[in-house]
Parts: sequence; C-alpha cells; structure tokens
Amino acid sequence: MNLLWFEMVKTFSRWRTYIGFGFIALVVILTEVVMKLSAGEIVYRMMKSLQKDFLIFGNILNGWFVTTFIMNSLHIHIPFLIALVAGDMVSGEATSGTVRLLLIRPPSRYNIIAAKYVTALFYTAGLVIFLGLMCILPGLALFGSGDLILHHYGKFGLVFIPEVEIPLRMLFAFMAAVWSMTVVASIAFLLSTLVENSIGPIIGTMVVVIVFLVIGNFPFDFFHSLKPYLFTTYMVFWQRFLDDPIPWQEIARSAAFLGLHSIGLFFIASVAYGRKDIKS
Amino acid sequence: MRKLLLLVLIPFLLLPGRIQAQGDATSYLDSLERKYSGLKDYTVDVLVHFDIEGFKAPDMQAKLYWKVPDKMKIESKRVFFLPKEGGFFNPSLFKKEDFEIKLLEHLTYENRKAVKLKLTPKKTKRMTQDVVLTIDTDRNLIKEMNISSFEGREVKALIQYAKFNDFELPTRIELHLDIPFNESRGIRDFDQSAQKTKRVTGKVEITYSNYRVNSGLRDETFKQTESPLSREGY
Amino acid sequence: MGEPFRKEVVLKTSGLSKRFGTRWAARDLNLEVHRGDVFGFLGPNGAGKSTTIRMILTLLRPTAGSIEIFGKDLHKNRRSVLSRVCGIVEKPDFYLYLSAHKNLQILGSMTRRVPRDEIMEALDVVGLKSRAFEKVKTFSHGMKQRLGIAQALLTKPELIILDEPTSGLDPQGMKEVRELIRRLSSESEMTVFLSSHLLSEVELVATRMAVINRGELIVQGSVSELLEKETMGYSIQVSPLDAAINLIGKLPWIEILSAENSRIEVRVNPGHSSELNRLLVTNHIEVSSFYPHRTLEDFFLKITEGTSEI
Repeated sequence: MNLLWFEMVKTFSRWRTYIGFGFIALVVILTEVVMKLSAGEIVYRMMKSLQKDFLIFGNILNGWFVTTFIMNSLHIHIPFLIALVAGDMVSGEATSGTVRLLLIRPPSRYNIIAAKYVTALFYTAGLVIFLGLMCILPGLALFGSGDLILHHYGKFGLVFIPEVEIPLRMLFAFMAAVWSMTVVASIAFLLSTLVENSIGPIIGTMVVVIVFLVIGNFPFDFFHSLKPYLFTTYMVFWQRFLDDPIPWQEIARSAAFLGLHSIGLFFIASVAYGRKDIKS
Repeated sequence: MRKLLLLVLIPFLLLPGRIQAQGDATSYLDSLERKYSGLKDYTVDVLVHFDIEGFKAPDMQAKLYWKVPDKMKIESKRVFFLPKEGGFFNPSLFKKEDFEIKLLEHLTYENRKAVKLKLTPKKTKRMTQDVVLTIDTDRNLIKEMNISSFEGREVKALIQYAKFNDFELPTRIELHLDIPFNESRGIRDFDQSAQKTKRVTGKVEITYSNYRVNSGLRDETFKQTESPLSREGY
Repeated sequence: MGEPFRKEVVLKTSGLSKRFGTRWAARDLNLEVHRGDVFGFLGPNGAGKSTTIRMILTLLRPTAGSIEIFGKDLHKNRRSVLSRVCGIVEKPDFYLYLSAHKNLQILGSMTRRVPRDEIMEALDVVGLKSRAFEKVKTFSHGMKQRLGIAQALLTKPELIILDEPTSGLDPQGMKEVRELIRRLSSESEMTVFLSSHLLSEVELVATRMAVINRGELIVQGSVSELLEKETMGYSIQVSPLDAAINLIGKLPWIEILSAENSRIEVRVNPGHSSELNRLLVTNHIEVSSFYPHRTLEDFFLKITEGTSEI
C-alpha cells in the first residue's frame, strides 16, 4: 500500500501529469461554446434524414447529447494523453536515474511494477472521469437537460433514452470508457518497461492505436477479417450503454476481450521488467 | 369518313361527362370544406407510439394546438416526434385550388359508401407526388390517405373519428410507412456506390384525446409554431 | 570488538559471473567481505566493478554464481537481505521535482517506516537540514551526493555499498565522505563496500580490498598485508652522495633509481627498510630525510599491468 501511495505522490507531483487535464478542459469548453453558437445548424445536420418524415420538437441539443457527441471522439485524443503519463511511468525512472535507487530497495520489482501500473490506471480513470465531468457539468449548464436522442449518422432510426435513465447509463458508459482506455495505458506501460526513454512509448502507443484503427477500417476483406481481433474494434463498447435495449452480452464480450488485453500486457511487462538488466 | 367523324366527335361527346366527373370529385372536397368551415381551432392531447424498425423510442406525449388555416404548435416537456404526413388533422389541407383532382372509383368502405380521389399537387415545390383519399361520402370523412412522394416514400394513414362539439375529429390515426433510406456504408465499400438505398417499414399510432374545440386560441399562442428543425412543413 | 566478530562474513560471492553477449564483464569472482570491513573494490575502467556492484544490488542478473549476504542467498531472501543493505550506484539521482525530505521519505519508507525526525537527523548529518523542503532540482552535485549518503544511512543498514562515493566532490567534500566512512565502520559497526578510482582515497580508509581486471579477481586481502608484500620506494636525502651510492649500490635487496643533488631514489625489497637506514647511519653517511613512496596506486598499477607476482 505504501508503494502505491508513493507512486501516486510521484506521479501527481509532476506538472506534466496535468497537461492532459488542462488539454481536456480547454478542448471541451471550446467545443461546447462552438456547439452553443452553432446549435441549430448542428442538430439540423444530425437529424436531417429524420426531418424528411418527422416534425421534431424539444431540446435535443442538451447537455447529455453534447456529452455523447464529445465522447465519440474519445478514442482519438485520449490515448495520447494517457500515453504521456503511462509511457513515462517506468522509462522515466531510467531517464532520471532514480531507477538505481528504486530497484535496490527490499520490495520486489513485481511489487514496484504493480504499484506503478495501478497508478497508471488510476490516472487513466481520473482523466476519463474528468472528461465526463467537463462534458456533463458545463454541458448541462449551457444546454440544459432533457432526453437523449441518438441518431447514428448514415443510418436510419434513433435511440431515445428518457432523461431519468441517463445518469445511470452515463455512469456505466464512463466506466466502460475507462475500461477500454486501460488497454491503451497497458500498451504504453509495457513499452515503458522495455525502453529507457519516454518518447518511444508515447509514440509507439499512438502508432499502435492509429494503425489498428486504420486496419480495422480498410475497405478490403482481408483487413475486415482482422477486425474482430483488434482491440480498437471494442474500444467504443461504451456506446452500447446508450442503446435500447442494452446489449449486455455484447458488452460483456467486449469487456472481457479488452480485459484480457490489459491483463496480458501487464503480465508481459512485469515478466520483462523482472528479468531486465538495469544498466543505466 | 364516318369513322373519322366518330373519332373526332367521341371526345366532344365524352367531354361533358369528364367535366361532370371533375365536378363530382371537387364536390367531395367542397363537402369536406363545408363540414369543417366552423372549426376555427382546437387543442388536443397527442400520444404517439412508434413501431418502426430501428426506431427505438418510447411513447411520446404532447399537447397540440391548431388554428385555421394552418397554424400549429406543439407543447411538450420532452422531445417529441410527429410524423409530417398525416400527423395531425388540418381540414384546410386539401383545398381544391391546390390540386388536380381525379375521381378514381366509387367503393364501399367499412360498409359505407365511399369514393377514392387522386390529388396531384399543382405546386411542384412540394415533394408529394400524389395523394389518394378514401372519403366516406355518407359522413364526409377522410377515412384513408395514401401519400406518395417523388423520392419513393409511401405513407398510408387510417383515420378513426369521434364527435367533439359537433365536429368529427380524429381519435386515432394509424400510419403505415414504407420509406427509402440512403444508408452510408462507410469507407469499407469505397469501390461501390457510397450509399445503399434501404427501405424502412413500420407503423406509427397517434392517439388524440381531450379535445377542446373553438376555445378562441390567439395568434400569439403560435408565435413559435414550428421547431427550428422542421424546415419543411406540410 | 574482538577478532571473531571481525571474521563474520557479511558478503560472499561464489563464482559470480556476468556475460553481455560474448563479453564476460565479470568472471568467477569469489569475494569475501567481513563485518566491520571498509572493503575497497578496485580496478581500472571497464574492469567490471560497477557490474559486480549492480549484481550484488540486484540490478543485474548474474549469468552464473551466487551471492550470499549475512549468510543468506540473496535471490531467495531478497527482501529480508536488502532491508539490511543500502547502496549508491554511480551518482545518486533523485526525484528532482520533490523536496529532499520527500525523497528520503519515499526511498526510506521502502525499507521501513521512517519517522520525520529521523529524516531530519539524517539530513542534519550530511549538512542539508536547512534545505530539507527545497526541491532537489535546486541542489548542486555535491549536495545531491550528500543527500545520497543520507538516504543510504536512513534505513540503518548493516552493509552499505558505495560506487564511487566521492565522485564529483571537492577536496573538502571528499574529506567529509572519508570521515563519514571511517565513522560508519568504527562507531556504527557498519560494513562498507566501496569502489573508487581515487586510489589514494581508498588507501586512507580501506581495511581490506580486492582488485579486479577484465572481470577477473586479481588479488584480495587486507590492505596492509598486500602492500607489505611489495617493494617500497624511498626518497633519501644523504651526504656525501657518492659514498652512499658506493655503500648500497651493490646490495642485492636494493635498486637505485636515481641519484642527484644529494637525493637518492631507491626501491627496497620488503622487510629491508630499517636495515637500509641502519646501514647508512653506521657508515657515517648523513641522512637528513628518509620517506617512503610506496602507495596503493603503485601497487594497483603494477598488478593490473600484470608485473607483480603475488
């Protein structure tokens, strides 16, 4: 427990840890202001296909809609912010030289690595939850509350979620978002154990995420057949909590797939680091 | 020569009949107009139930205000979707001067005498291709509407009525939709056409209750008649 | 403390070896460090000293051999063993964004819970108490070195391992570290294992030593015993010079290196130093000064060049 506390102190004492939070705050506020100014235009475009057949009344562009809208870009900007810290968790100690003082202590390397990993996950959860709060609180203040109408671009139909159900669904959605981002944190963490600088893990993580996203969307059958095996395919499973009915089986499958990834990556990291010669 | 004469004369002989038929078709709309001429406004509670594939919405409730000739307002605490075609009763919708009217047939509908009229809008700006009305001639009520659009949209409305303050107003409209939808398939099939046309079918049941008729609604009530989203009113 | 106490083996390596690719950085090292020793671990650059220290502190995995500390196998009893050991490998690096106090709190508490007053006491010992709550990034190199020693002492180790502890320090700093090492050994009964290139520094503090070269152990033993086996150099001020040269020039146990300006530089076999002095005096040769040149550095250079027979 001490180890974990100290890793938290070390991580959250650095100003670099707060870059992600600052970036999120800036981007979300800007996005919400722009959306407020362009409210009618945005919703008109989103609902264009439905407006041929229906007259639509009510506060569609409410805080919950804005939150969902911003969260849809979660897998684009959040991975970088996660890698910024998770990718530095282990390699940063090598760069600064503190690894020589750290690893000669009685706690085993496995315990130290585990404490660092949990800290990385804690940061990841904090970042995603912060994103949620930044979306929801100013969103509700600027746009008000209401039912959540979700219309998938390019597809007919919509999902209508009553206002009373939204808070709990959003809570589950954010938990799922945290769960999916732990895979990104795990990749960055693994890379961090393998090298002795922080740039490599950060770039490496982004490369992995982007390449997997691109592969999963390539318009060829071969790549399409790979899609079920790519973790990026399941990174958006949080959206399923905003479906009606909630597809619990699909969610469980996605969560299990991502969980296995995280566990596997951490296992590799701890074994690799446990056997690593510290020459720096 | 005789044959030629007949060929020339026949259209002239039929013309009075045709004019007569046109006149008959128009008369049905005239009857409708007369029936509802005293209806100046109404307020009604609306309940909409959706049964359309991919449309996962609960029943929606709202209060609808209507005033002659075409003012309409929806009041709802929550988001409310109202089908554009056949969603609410507007007796001045089918003005004879707006349509080319053709009498299709006389028929029996729900054990009553009825006629089928085909209405083709004169103004081409509207997407509606034509409307086929089934009118109960005994009671002067539109029982069925079949609306076709140039985009291939087919909407069929079945209407039930009850009497409120001497006016027969809809208590239930059942809409059957068969509409095309251009689904974007994403970049996967970039070598094929970007969009695939899919047909969506389903049913919308609209129930009207608690009518208040001719209560003297003021124009100010309709200041924001339409949602900013509904740019194509009907 | 009696002899039996000093002979307890605190650190023992048996056949300790480390290979990187095809290169052996350390090969078949058999070291023995006794309790209370100030053990000097010497070798030229690239000899394998840091590699050996890193293996002892579990930063590197040995390719072969074993390490016992306090009679226990290090790798099987890592936690209990390392709780009694502390070390500094190369220069001590700290979390620059944290204060000196916080650094010690974190590092110290990984061994045992360290009360705040002990942290302040350790900082006081190394002269950093007034800077306790300043971020380490504001510290000079010398201050970081002292902080490194403070963190090593904080957990009250029985064995302290230092890799180049005076590196980067000014003469005053070096002196302080030397004094500290002596105090640790004599007052706190701490065993000190230190490597250094500053052989003169090691000579002043070490009681036992080992020399390695190219990863292999060359010699190991007490400093005084090892040095006594070597020939000693002397610088003698004599008058008359010629008479002195004639007297000692043909002796088998002495070699004249140079003679000029009444100064004669000689090399004498072990055990003949006092005989030389007596010979000069009894033959009426005036001896105004007689001082030795024998140092650890001479010994070290000689054996690492492979010219000595031990």
